[in-house]
Amino acid sequence: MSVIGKPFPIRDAREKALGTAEYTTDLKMPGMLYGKVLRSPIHHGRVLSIDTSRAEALPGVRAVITGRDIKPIIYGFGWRHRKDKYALAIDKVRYKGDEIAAVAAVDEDTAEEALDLIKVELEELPAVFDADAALVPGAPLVHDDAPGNIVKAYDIHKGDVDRAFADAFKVYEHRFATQRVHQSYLEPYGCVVHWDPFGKVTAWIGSMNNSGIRLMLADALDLPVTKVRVIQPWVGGSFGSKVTLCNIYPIAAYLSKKAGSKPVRIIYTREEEFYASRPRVSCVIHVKTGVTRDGCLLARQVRLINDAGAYSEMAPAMLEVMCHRSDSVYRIPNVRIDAKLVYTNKSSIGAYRGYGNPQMTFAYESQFDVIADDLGIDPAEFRLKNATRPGDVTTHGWQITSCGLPDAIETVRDRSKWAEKRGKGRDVARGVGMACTIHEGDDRHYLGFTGSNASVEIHEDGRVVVISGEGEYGQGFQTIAAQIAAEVLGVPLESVDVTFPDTDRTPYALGPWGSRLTISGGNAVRMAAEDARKQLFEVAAEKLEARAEDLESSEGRIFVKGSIERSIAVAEAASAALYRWGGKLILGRGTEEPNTTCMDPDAQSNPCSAYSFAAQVAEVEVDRKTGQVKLLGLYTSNDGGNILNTTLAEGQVVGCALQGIGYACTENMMFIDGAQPNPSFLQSGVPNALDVPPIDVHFTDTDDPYGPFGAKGLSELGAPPVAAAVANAIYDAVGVRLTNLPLAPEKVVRVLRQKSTATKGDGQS
Amino acid sequence: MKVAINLRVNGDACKVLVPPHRPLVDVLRDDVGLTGTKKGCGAGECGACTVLMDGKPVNSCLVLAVQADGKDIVTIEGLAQDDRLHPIQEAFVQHGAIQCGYCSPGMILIAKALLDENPRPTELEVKQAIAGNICRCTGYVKIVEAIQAASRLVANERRA
Repeated sequence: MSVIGKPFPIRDAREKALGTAEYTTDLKMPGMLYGKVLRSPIHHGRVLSIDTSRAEALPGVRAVITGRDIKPIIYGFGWRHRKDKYALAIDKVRYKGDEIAAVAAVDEDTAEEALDLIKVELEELPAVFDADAALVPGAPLVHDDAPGNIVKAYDIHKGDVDRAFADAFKVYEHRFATQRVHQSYLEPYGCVVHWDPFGKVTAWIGSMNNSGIRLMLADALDLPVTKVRVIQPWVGGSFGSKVTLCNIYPIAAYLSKKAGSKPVRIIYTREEEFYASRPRVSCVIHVKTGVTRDGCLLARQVRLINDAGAYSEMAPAMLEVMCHRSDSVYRIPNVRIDAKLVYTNKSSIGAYRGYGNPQMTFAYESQFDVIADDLGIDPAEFRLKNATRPGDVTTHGWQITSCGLPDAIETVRDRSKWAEKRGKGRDVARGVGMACTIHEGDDRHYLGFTGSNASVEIHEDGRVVVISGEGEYGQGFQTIAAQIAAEVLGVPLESVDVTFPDTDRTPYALGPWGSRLTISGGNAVRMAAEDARKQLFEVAAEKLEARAEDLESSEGRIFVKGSIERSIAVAEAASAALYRWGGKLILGRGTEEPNTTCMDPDAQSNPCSAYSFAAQVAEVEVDRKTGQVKLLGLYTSNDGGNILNTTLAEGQVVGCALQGIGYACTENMMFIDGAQPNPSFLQSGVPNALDVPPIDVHFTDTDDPYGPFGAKGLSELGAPPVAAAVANAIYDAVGVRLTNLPLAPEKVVRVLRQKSTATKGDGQS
Repeated sequence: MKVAINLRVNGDACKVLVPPHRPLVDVLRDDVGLTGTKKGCGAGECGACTVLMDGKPVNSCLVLAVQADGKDIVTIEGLAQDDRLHPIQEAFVQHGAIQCGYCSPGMILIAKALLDENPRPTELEVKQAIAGNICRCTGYVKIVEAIQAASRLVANERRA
């Protein structure tokens, strides 16, 4: 391998270091107007009247729109489950921040001023902010057509849980709760949208998922899909959030149209991010688990309640995954989950690195340690004993091919010096804790095309252009795509370009669901490069008077195997292919469509072409007086298959792990009767450089049979295990069990006090 | 009402008419046209808009443009010389300190301010210096490594 497995920097690092990379927030166009959104000041209410006349009269204002100016189309990512959202409120507002009206003006100050001049009359309705409260009969209804405030419910079972509990040596029950946290990417939501005079809408959107956003935007605007073009500029981080439609995209389109086809730019403020974007869903997770005397998992029953906020967005799809994903970390024959997704008068929720995985992993892996402790089994041994292994078909039918989980558990155990540190902590208040996770590579939710398309062009000067519809938002897909093409074609990495997605130019691709870009997008690029190489070698074979199958290429030259003096430059062959009678550009095509299945009524499926695993050990020191938990180290072992780029892989694991640390220890979007007291980076607890413990990054030696060059997804592995690993380490250190995230000092102090006053047993908080 | 101010940005004199409430970051990005300076929060919390004002790092979202009248401003666009990256930029590229890149201009400038003051900072000093700059992608580890590597590069250049 000449480029695969090497530590190349991300390919656009130079532009980013120079400040020349153009993000959506940097875009300016001739005639461009600045849009602002008027948001609901109340949590729940009926729209009685909106008077925009004074705003319209303000000099510099070019368009004002309300629910009357839009097509009354209900849309939403929940299309497979439920559509429940207008671009602007028509009848009701359902959370403080819901979009009521919007303005486009010649500058931002004028647009702001115009918002103040819009007079809105609302009839306030009772609101509900807590999922449990929303389920109580008689609770205020967020949507009149969703009785009981239930968006979606699942009842999934496999085997006979009741019988297994009856047979079990012991059964354990716990309740865990997790909080909302924000993705806190640095570039806020933004777009520039131009509805041209011929009816075509062009949108520059800092999204993760051009093809998908185009479909959703066309749906929201009721336009044929080819009348919508979505172009991706550089994206300043996303972590899942920017994968679906944001309301400002259709709003900017309507403003553009009304303002006489001028491009309109809308950029979220940071406050809007906290009030009106899509953070991680908060959950209450009741877990009941039965085991045998020697520590084998027999059955697990789960009651899960997710707080969707006011609109369903991605929450139903996420709930579906949360209902079964984590059952494949270990061998467990009987499972049952009763899951409900509940409307409340808060902003909607969205994807955030793990897609429900950090929540379920926190609950399951925390309880795992309680069980291990009670049975007197070392938690690492307990995990190894039950771990999923290569070749397993898990309880939901997931076909595990490559699996580095046992290796990962042993690695973090040994590298953390687990045996030396474990169980020694109670005098010095130091301890270690472990947790494991599984993540999807791909995730089939429906029967249509769920793959990726790519093409590879080889131009006459030898430059290779990779054209993929998959997005780049700082995670490094373009670098990986370039490496794959360079490796297949035997050309230097520097001679490969990768285009940014533009739906008028780049082919349809599913987008980055379930850490799938390396596997699916990467395989499409590999196939396209192989197709291009075949065409190239045919031309080279004529020139070299050899058979195409006897050729190979390296460092930009094509050789006859075994006689390197018979060679031709890639550029020369590509040029010969083009500049001749009947010539053509070398153009290879690749389509990846995973051989995966949807969930059947018995919750059986094999939704992914590969599954990734990770294990972590956290080491903590707890200050018994203040409750401060100091993270002394985080040991990670990650099964991302064969690692294509060590620099990028380490960056993904460490960055994700720090998000996991924030989630575990400090981050919390607070709600007090619906009000948000901490809508900012600092107040919500986003970690800074001083919060980073030593993080040990290890990759298992795994080679996946499906992924390109043996690779699997790994960008979501770093975060999920952290919270349970830290909670388990706190238990090892001071003997108390925390079951609510974040693991904040006041909770530690509270359970320590409870423990000291209780006669026996562990406190819980 | 607008006020005329004179800035020196990356060595070039700029005269701009600005409303008195307009922060420096908006003037640099919209009036001067240098969008390398990023705006992440507008509240001085994330450091993405860090620039050097008379050699000192400031959050340009917290400085009114009128307060910068007569000052010397260095933005990310002022660091590279011709095609040659500044050693800090080069170290950020080579050490994988850049992912989405939105914090990078501010991080690189805060690092420059640090190394100008303290050419051989310890790891803790680097972390303290960048504690006001948020990066959500990298987990900071490679940024700290890059700044330490840059300090060695800068020191070597000085010696040479």
